[in-house]
Amino acid sequence: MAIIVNLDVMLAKRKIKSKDLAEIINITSANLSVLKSGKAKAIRFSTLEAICKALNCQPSDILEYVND
Amino acid sequence: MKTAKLLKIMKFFSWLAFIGLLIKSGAILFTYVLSIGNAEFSKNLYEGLNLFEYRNYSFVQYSFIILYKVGLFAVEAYIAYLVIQLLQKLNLKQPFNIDVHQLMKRISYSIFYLWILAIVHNAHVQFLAKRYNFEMVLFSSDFVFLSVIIFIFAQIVKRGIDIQSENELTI
Repeated sequence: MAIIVNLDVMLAKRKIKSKDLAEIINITSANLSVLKSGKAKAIRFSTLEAICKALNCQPSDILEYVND
Repeated sequence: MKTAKLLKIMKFFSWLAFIGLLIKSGAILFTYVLSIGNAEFSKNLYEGLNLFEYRNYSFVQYSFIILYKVGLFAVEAYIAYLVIQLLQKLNLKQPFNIDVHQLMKRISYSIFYLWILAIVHNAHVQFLAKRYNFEMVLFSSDFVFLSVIIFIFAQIVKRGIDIQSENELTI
């Protein structure tokens, strides 16, 4: 897929565990795992906003476009 | 809640139809076997079904007509069985799943095959009955549109599966 999810990188930078982030943004660990693995087909603005708020970053830090 | 209750009632009636049709095809087959030895049995094969004239005219033609009738009721029973399966697999919380799509497609194809069998049966019976002035017992064949409609619904379910899976993968 052309859109890469760099959530792992941001989590490592902020030293936050996936489980903790899932709790903060109020989604299940399974759903966060789907997002991290790139299997997700879409992301809600509300989820993106919550992630950016929790990790103190911009959407571009999490999502990246790569030309296939 | 109302829909769930309705589905349960439909399942019950589908079971009734399935058992009834199996009994019907089994009874015709049984009386046919009896009629091989004694032609009198062909006067009342099942609930007044009289093929005595056909039996007297030609045993081969008579056997063909019996074969059609047993086949028609067996296919109908199979469709009733598929409907039971469909009602069992139907989950109202997640109505679009691959099993429902496959079953709907199979029901649609089965109705289409039933229609073809009914057309062949009716043509054969009409040919003999008109030629030799026999009594005609035809099978209704107006349900081909039902097959098309169910097939269209199966395609809608397929699209529903795509939308549902997309929705499930929206985080």
